[in-house]
Amino acid sequence: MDAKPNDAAPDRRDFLRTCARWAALAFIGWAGGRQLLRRRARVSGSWCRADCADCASADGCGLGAAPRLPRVSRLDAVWQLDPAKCIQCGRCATNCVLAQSAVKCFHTHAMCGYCKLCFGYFQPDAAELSSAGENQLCPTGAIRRKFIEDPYYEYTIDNDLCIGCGKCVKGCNTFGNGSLYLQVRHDLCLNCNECSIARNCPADAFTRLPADRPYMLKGS
Amino acid sequence: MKRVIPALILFLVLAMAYVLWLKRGTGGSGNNGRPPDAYVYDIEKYRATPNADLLFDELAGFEVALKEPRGIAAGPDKGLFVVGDAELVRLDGEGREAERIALKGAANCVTSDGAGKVYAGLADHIAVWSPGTTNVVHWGSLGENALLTSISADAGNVFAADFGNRVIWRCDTQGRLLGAIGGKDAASGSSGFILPSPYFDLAIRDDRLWVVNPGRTRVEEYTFEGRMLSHWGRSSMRPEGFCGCCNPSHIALFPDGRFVTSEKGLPRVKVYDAKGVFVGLVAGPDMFAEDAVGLDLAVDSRGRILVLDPARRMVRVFAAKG
Repeated sequence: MDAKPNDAAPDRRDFLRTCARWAALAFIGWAGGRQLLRRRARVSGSWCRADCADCASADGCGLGAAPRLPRVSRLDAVWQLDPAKCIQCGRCATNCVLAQSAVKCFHTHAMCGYCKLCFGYFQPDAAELSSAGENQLCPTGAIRRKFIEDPYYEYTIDNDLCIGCGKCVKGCNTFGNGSLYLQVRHDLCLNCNECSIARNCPADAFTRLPADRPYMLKGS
Repeated sequence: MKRVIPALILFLVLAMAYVLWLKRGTGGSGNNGRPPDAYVYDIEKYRATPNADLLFDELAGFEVALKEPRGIAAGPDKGLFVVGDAELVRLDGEGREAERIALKGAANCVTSDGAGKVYAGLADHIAVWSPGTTNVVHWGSLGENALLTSISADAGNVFAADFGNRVIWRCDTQGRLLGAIGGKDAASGSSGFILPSPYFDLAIRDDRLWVVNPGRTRVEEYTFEGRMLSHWGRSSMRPEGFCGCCNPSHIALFPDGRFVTSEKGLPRVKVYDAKGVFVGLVAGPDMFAEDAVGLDLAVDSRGRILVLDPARRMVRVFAAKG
């Protein structure tokens, strides 16, 4: 009497069928997601993924983007934030496609008053003028304060910690002389075809600059 | 069928995860695009001014036909002077323009010596005008770095605050330079005037010179020879103190010894007694534009406070309640 085959042991046909089924499911998922994004892009009028940064032509966008921007190559123009228009709303910190925004605080030391009581550094109602965390305005502690001579202190930005929220910039602009300001750092920026921050900027402060002059620095 | 259902569930989960992964690059905070409160600089709570805190009423103001009015001074009669652009304007007691004099450059400040002469501070020099004439005498330059931001005069002295050089120039009424006050002096340990931004005001009364030192958030008293006698003022967001890194921006003096001050950042006008003790508010932050700066002050012969509001191009008039 022949032994009955073991039902639990997979045969080649079952294995191939399972593989085909999973491959089909993966393809449907990919296609569905892609279609969803394309539809959203058409609704919003534009769409840009960070890894499309080399795209030189809006017409050729694989995601169906229809940017309102003039056709510019990444090599021709870059995004920048106009300090004269910026209202320091905080959105640069949260709307960049990067995990940590490419917008950072810049400091023109030649303009700085080196104030002992810097309103870019201290909370408006700081209990005392010390570098204790509760007295600092910056949510990430990205500003370094160093005594120079009475009553002058030097302030420098730690770019690794700065998230570009502009809180210090607003304090400095409101009470001081505006030596702190926000700029897009081009060693970090992916230069998206349509910048996500620019799209959400309530002050329309983002502009395109020639790539050979990519910054709007104060005091220059 | 037993195998299909778990596979379908797994597929849906994977598909959702994939879509979410694709969406992660869209930015946004998940808060309708608004950043979290921790990223927003908010001083709104300091801008509200309860009416009960105001000791002065605002009367009808005067519009000034200048693009950039910068300085104001009360005249010997009920009139007043305003400078801006490259012009000096005399207004009568009702705020009507009485005379307009062209200057050689943009003027930042103006004062009347009480005897008829009017002094205007241009960028690097002083111009002198006698009302009723068209003759303006321009004194010599105080240097290429000079930026005059305030001027005050009596019968024998003219003092001009120079933001560019961080000093106060003392001249006689003929324009001869008598000295400078307030320079940095390592020997005496004086760090001079701390001026992070171009707001450097002064006023004279009873042979004493009163000067704002904004970086130290105080008002300082000097002899005419430049010896500091006293100072008052402290830093605070509360009305009693001076807000921000560098205030007050302007002062004016009552004949009875009281002071009027104005601030920027949190624009407000306040009165202090002769010892520098806070008396009360003249105008609170919510009575000005959020970014109002350059609120030059004067006290006229009727004891009213005149506030130049450059954003509105107006002279705003405040009188004590009651």
